[in-house]
Amino acid sequence: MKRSEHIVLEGVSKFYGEVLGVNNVDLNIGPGLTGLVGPNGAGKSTLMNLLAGLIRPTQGTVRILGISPAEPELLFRKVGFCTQWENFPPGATGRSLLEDTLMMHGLARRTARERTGEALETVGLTAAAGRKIDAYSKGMKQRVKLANALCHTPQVLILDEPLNGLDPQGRSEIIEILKELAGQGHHVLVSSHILHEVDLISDTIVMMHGGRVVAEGTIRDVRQEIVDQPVQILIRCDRPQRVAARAFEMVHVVGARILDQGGGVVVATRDGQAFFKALPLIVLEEDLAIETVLPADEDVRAVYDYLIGPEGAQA
Amino acid sequence: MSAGFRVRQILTVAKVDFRRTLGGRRTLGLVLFCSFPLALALVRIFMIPEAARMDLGRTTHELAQIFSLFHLRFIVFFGCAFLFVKSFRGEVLQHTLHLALLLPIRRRDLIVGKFFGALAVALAVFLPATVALVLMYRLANGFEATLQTMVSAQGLGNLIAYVAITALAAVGYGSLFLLAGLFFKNPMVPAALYLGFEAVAPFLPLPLRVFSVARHLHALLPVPVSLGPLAVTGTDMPGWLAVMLILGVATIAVRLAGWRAQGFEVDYS
Repeated sequence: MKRSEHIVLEGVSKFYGEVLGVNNVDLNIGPGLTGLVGPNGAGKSTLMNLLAGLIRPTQGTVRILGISPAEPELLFRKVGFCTQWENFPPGATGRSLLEDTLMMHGLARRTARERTGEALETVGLTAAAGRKIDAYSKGMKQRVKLANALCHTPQVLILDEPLNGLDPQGRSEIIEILKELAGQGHHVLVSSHILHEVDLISDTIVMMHGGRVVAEGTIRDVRQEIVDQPVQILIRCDRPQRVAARAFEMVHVVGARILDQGGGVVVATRDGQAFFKALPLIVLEEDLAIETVLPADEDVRAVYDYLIGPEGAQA
Repeated sequence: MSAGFRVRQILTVAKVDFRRTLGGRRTLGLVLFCSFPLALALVRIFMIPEAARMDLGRTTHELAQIFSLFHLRFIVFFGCAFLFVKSFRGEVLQHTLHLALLLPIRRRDLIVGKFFGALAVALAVFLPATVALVLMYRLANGFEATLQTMVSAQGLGNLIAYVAITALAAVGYGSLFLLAGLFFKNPMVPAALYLGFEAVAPFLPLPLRVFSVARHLHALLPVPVSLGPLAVTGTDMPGWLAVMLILGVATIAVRLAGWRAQGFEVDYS
């Protein structure tokens, strides 16, 4: 795929005086759902604002589908951005906000009205369309922001903490919308500090800490690159103690933890492939009834803990 | 992107800004602010002895003074400061500017749209206020005399001149305050600075005096107004030149504002 079809940052740094925003970030993000994660102050919002041109890089270049953020007249035909800010023009209703946005995109009033109706329906705000946004709940404000970002059917959606303030049903609805858009080949870049959500929605992740990108790629790829942390494998079976005992006979196994309920064991090994190769023999020899075998730390939470540490995870 | 499309976008920005500002509660405060000169005119009707009040020449002269020194230099001046600084800086203070900056429109076009939006509000508020001021002053001469004056060529000409001067004042002051809104966080700072500049402008070298909107407006007044010692500085420029200078200052200010907006970063902290 051409670089002009990607979101590309090259050597991007942003400093506020002596305060670091982001430092020397290189990224190349393709279509699909990408999760941007990191603790508070990691630089996620700064990165997103750089992508939207709301702030300018001190160094480096940003291109979205080959367009510079310094050309908003071209960029925002293809990009929709849902910011972290929850302020709206005083007196605006959900409907008027979107209609104004679409008319400023150059649409005729009638078309703007139709598109507004569609966008509000997509985010489930049709019933509240005529109410003032000031009177909306936090969740409704998130929905109207999302509708405002996607009403012009952009190719790229950049969403800063879009799931904040939504109830569980709202989250699942919005996640479905984002997955659908990503499935249609759109770029959807979502920042979140709620790790299991990122796990649910992301094809790939960009992990940030201290203004730097510390990992980028699919969760599995990122996990496999962390060689200093043993791979954790969960085996659910009828006799986990036997699995643990046999596992300790292997030199690369560094730990085994029987689960509280006793229905499984988590084996920590420095050579996952060797363990998976040896496991069928153990099953046969011990006559085990295996329910599940799966990687226990190929998720964002584990990767996050390994790379950033528990203090980051608490942020 | 075609010029026609850009013009449509600019007009849409202006329309949306006009609707949002005019529908805002603060505009009511601005309308009340504009009624100060009307209150003065009303007080005049009841406080001045009838003989003096009925003197048409005196009324004309006092109207010119109140229009020039109070309505233009105070009401329209601070009214424009409020409207035009609010048009950009107000959105920063409200934390809503990003909504405008995330639209597919050149930032300099956005600024032009915002200028016309605020100008439309200014005209909608100040022009009726000017007409009301002229009529209230004339009414001191009685209804019959007012009617006669207003249908006469001179009376109507003066009214049109006052309205046109008010509109030009909104264009000139508005453009400067819009520009100031891109540099200053507090609108009162540029307003006070410019007011100071206007006060000392007659003593400044000619190239600097070009930026004094009040000086150009003074040259357009249909009835000469004495500025006391400042009168010696001369405002004897032709009307067309004064109009061109105001429009020139406005064009430069809006272009500078557009240039500044190009690199403007959103920082609500």
